[in-house]
Amino acid sequence: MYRPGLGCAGCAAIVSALLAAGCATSPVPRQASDPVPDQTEAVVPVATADVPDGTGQQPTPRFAGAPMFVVVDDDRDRDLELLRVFSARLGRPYRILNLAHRSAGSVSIRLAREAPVDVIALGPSALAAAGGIPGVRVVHAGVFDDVRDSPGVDALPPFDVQLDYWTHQNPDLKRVGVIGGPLMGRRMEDLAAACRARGLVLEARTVDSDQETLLAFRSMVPKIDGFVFLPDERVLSPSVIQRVVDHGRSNNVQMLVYSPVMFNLGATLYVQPDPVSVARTLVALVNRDGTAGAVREMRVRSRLSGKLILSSVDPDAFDAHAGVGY
Amino acid sequence: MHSTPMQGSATDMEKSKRTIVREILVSQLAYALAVGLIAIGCVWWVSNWVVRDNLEDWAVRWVGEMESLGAGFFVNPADERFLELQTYLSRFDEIEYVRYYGLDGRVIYVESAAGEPRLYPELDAGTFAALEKASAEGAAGGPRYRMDVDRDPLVRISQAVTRESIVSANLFSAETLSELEGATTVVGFVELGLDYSGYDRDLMTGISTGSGFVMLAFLTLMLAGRLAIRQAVQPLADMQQPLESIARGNLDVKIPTSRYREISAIGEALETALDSIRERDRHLLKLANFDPLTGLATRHHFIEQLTARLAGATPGYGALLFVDMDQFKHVNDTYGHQAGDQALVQVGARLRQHVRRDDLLGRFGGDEFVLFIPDISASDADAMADKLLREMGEFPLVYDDVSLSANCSLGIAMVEETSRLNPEELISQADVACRLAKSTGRNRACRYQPDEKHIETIKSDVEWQGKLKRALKEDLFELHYQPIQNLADGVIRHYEVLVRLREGEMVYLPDQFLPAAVRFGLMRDIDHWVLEHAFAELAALRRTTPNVRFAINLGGSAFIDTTLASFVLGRLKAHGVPPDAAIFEITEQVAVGSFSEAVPQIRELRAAGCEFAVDDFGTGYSSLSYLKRLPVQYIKIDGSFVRRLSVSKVDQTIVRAIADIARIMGKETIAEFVGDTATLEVIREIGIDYAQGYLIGEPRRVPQANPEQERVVPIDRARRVR
Repeated sequence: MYRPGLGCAGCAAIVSALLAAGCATSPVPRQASDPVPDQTEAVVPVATADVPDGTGQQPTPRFAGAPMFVVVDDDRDRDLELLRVFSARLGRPYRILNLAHRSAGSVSIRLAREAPVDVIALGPSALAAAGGIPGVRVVHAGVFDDVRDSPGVDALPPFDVQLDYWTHQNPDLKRVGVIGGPLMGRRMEDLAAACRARGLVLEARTVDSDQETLLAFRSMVPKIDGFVFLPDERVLSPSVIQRVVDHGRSNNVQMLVYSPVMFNLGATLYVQPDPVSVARTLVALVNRDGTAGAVREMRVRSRLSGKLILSSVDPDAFDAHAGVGY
Repeated sequence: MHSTPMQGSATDMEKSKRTIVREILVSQLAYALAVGLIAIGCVWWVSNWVVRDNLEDWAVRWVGEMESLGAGFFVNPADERFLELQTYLSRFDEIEYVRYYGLDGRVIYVESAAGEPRLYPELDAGTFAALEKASAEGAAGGPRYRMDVDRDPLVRISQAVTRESIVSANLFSAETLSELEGATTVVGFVELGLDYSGYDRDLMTGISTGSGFVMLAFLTLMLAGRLAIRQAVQPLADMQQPLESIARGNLDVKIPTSRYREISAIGEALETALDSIRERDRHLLKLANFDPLTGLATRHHFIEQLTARLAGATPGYGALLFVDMDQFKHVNDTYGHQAGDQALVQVGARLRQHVRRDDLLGRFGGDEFVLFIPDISASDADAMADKLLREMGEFPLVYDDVSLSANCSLGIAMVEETSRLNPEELISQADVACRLAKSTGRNRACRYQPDEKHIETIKSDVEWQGKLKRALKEDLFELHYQPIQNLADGVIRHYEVLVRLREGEMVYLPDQFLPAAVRFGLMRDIDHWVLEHAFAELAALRRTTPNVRFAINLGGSAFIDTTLASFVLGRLKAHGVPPDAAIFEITEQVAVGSFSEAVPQIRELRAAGCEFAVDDFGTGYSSLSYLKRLPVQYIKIDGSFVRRLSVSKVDQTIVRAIADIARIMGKETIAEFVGDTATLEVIREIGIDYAQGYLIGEPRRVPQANPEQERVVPIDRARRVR
């Protein structure tokens, strides 16, 4: 939570700390108390470089004099970590617009006025606020829905990475279920393909309401060992989330979730793209260096071993770095 | 006359009484029933409340399930969901039906587990609006459901069917559910009909069964309690028999003990009371059987023992000696009653010295002693009599350094066959022989010889004895009442009570039967009869004449009975007669001769309010000195001085002297045998207070009614001379 008393002095201290720390390389436990400031100015000059944007064109030094904004949905510490890495690798100043402290409309107005070349949108609300402004290129991250008109980083790690990790941790996993709304068709197809490739049976249901989600889950439970909990807000409600997790736990169904709240309620496996990798990819997208690709590294919180494990998963090495277990 | 109250059936009276056991059990039963009913009521109410509360929880849960199960109806009805609904409904018998409404209020689906469900009327628009509002308000607005119980046990619960989604974009970042913002949309309504009759039946069955067990246990405990109470109270019931035995006069009973303090206390109190009664009975028995002065057997006790001895006596070998002191009256008159008492005591002691273990010795009252010697011949009896006479003569009695003569006259009667069977006859024979000894010079002994004269006397005595006993038993005595007039105002306020013995047409006067009564020890019974009947008549007369009084004669032997005063007061109280309505007449001889026994009782009766008159005054030997000490209120001048009062100056002087002395001493005078007006004038002139005689009124069977109205002789107040 942003503390008004911190002010510019606090912001400067944070930036200094980020620069002094250099690149963030190892995952750290969540620090709940670090706020994401509203605005920050980079104080360390950065080197310029032509970063290809993957289109074959030579990149143009865009940062010289051009403002850059990062719009964030809220002041979560996950974004804070990402921003640290992003700041370190970006090499140029940028401003942060936090939707926790200002309205989407004011953000849009500001961006329209400032006319930055690139805007990083972290989260769906940030994307909605920053998108549609003429001349502004938005790079997004942390957005679950399909986004077709801007580059970005998927909110979810690739299903194959997730399933490899899951089946590696639980070789007995054979049948997986998934429920989603009508807009989750692509996701379900991706998941289905990943399951087929690994010999898993997928039980998929499309629903239109939260009650149906609950109903479908209950009917599905006898047939599955694990469940992928798609974070489709349209067919979920707080009460249904609670009941689904409770029902799954009481019926020994492992649940893979992408939301910390679901994991805190008792889900088995919580995965998210590794913030460091996301930051690196965002920088590459902003610099148009052509190296940006899907973020395959993921950060995991797991109860599969019976202990709460926080670890990072490098799919290439596929050797989950033993993180902090508790 | 004694009236016998009507006696109802004792058994019915006993049955109508209540028992302690029943009282305790009834009160316990009432208490337990009240507690039981309250307990059952509380159990029913609490159970009903708990069950209903639980059912409401289930109803809420079920309607929530119906909302979930029926969600598909509002989006995409499918067979699978339909089957799930049917499956769910079949699991719960309480669910009568489920009914879904669209947002417009139309029924879109009804399902029930039973063939013909009992449906509540469809929900109305107002209900829909309320349910929609409740859903919109969420938990802060209270429950989302609405429950209708007007067809209880058929209950309806309804709520809106909603669809909720998350509108905040923080699902990837939220740590807790409260950070997620949801939005609710009502898509329809669901109604669930529940039949709780099964619960009610089960509840009633359970309560009834439980109550039945409770009642059974209660009855069992009551029976056990009844036994326990009976056992505890049994010692009280056990006391009934000994108490009944005591009531029948048997004091030789054992009071049962008890381990209970209260009953034990009652038992101890009863034992103490019994001991007191036994002691009192021993004392009374001693008083009844033994003469308090000499310690010798009384007449009654002597005759009892004599009867038993005679049963085994041999005719001719056994003698009764009747001893009568010579000059005893002289001793009494000369040296006083204390000297007389001492003489009796010493004579009794001397006779006792000659009594063997099997002999009987008694005092028959006055100066008469009786000694029975079994197994003795006539000659030996004569020798014994001579010995006694000799000893009495050789050793005078001593009182206050004064020698008193102890000479006696002695009558001997041998046990014969006839007298063996009748002790009274033996006593009469000895008595006759003693009278013969007295008549032939005293200080001698005579043996009874059965000649005609003696036989006649004995026979007459025995006949009188029989008459008197029969008269007592059959109420053959009569009371006659002679008025006594107050000479000051001429009013008759009291009557003298005179006893008669009626046998058929014959009416015997007191001097004909009283001597035999004295001789046979029947005076006490006759006195009691006279007192009882006189008080009864007095009570009846005072209902019409409130101030009337009776003067009742008491003989000498009356005061030998130390319970006379308590008897008189008791009977006065029983008849409701105030003590001051009774005047007792005692002769001068009685007053003096029984002075020690008479005075305490006279004082006791005086203290209660009774009055006394000295009868036949003037014929005794030491009248005046005793007159000062006797607590009497009236002096009845002997008739011998009154009969010829009008013509005899000597009699007038004597009567006048008596009147003067009496007046000075504060006593009133009564003149007897007033037979003519001349005599009446004289006694009035002398200042006598009352007059009695044939002139005033003859003795009559019934006292005159309204005696204040009766004035036999006109009164001339002017002629009264003082």
